[in-house]
Amino acid sequence: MSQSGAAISFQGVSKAYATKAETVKALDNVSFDVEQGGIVAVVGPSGSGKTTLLNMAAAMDFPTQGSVKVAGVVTSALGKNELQKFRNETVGVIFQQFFLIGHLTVFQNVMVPLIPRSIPSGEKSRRVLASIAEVGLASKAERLPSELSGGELQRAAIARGMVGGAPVILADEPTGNLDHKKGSEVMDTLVEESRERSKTVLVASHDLRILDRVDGIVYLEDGAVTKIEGNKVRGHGP
Amino acid sequence: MARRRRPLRAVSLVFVGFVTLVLLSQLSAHYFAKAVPTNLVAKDEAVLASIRATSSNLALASAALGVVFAVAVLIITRQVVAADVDVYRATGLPETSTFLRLLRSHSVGPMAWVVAAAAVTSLVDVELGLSDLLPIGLAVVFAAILVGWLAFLTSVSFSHKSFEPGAERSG
Repeated sequence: MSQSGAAISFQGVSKAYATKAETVKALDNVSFDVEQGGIVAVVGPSGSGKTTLLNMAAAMDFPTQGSVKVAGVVTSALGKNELQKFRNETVGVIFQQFFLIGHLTVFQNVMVPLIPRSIPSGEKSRRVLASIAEVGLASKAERLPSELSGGELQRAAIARGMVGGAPVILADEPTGNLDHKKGSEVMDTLVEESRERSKTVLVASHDLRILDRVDGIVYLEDGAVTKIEGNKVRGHGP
Repeated sequence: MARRRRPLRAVSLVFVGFVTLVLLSQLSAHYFAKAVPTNLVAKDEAVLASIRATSSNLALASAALGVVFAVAVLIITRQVVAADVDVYRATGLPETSTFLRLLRSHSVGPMAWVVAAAAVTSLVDVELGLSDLLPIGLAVVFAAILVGWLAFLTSVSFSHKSFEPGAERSG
């Protein structure tokens, strides 16, 4: 099946950024497939291209060469409205630095992905509260981000990434700001999404402690894949 | 309870401050002119005209300073607001919806204070025979700058092909 049956497929993806002085290659001919329901880690040192790779899967960035296919959709072929729908319904993104909106409460932040959805407001509230409760923040739903600890911010960001029920979850360094115990709890949540709800989870991390919790690992260095191992993920070509 | 981080509310407060400054500039000249002894004014109407001209210049200078200062504050707070726009974009909100949410969450309420300050200033100006169009004009300019700025930030984010919340962009 190669890419066609994969939940996430990178096919010969390169990304170059032109600066005034030089052209920087953030990704270099990256190819791999992640099967549906798999939880796969992309690991590598800082600057290896992990965030760029995740942004591409989220259709927040696009390849200079090659193609990215998520849930059967080639992201670079999407029009403006399709792109909004894709970002809203197909992928749930958990950002490295949380990016919670400072003047909104936890409840309001988690509600953001549901704003464009055509569902009754009562149902939206119910989903938001359920998502907040699932990450253990039920008692802090009315707090502002400035009143939360690093771990709580991370969990609020996870609730926002998952509230929309997207089939693909993209998490950028979800344990990066947490101690071992809290990091482990966050990974429990992501593993649960994968195992129990059959969601495909792609986690970018340089935290090697998460590697025993995932199905497969893509090693990235200087924008290129150096090794792929485990289940639910496979490379292309030789 | 922590305070909500709404940088553009601070911008609106700056607007209110400068509308008030315009009023103070006008009032100071008005009362100074009234304080000039009647016999002196009677002998030299040019003195009164000069004071009124100074009053207008002061008010205009305050207004111009307000616009410059407001633009500077908007530029300083750009990254915070742009990051919010990027998050709305990343979660799949349409451009128009994002713009309206920004307006509602950051600006509409505080802009009412600016309008109120401009209305009070204009009423005082009418009562005292001063230039009542200046504070109203200033409030309109402030509102236009703020709405235009939010529209610009939203447009830049939605036309951008990569994602780096709040990053400096050339547009």
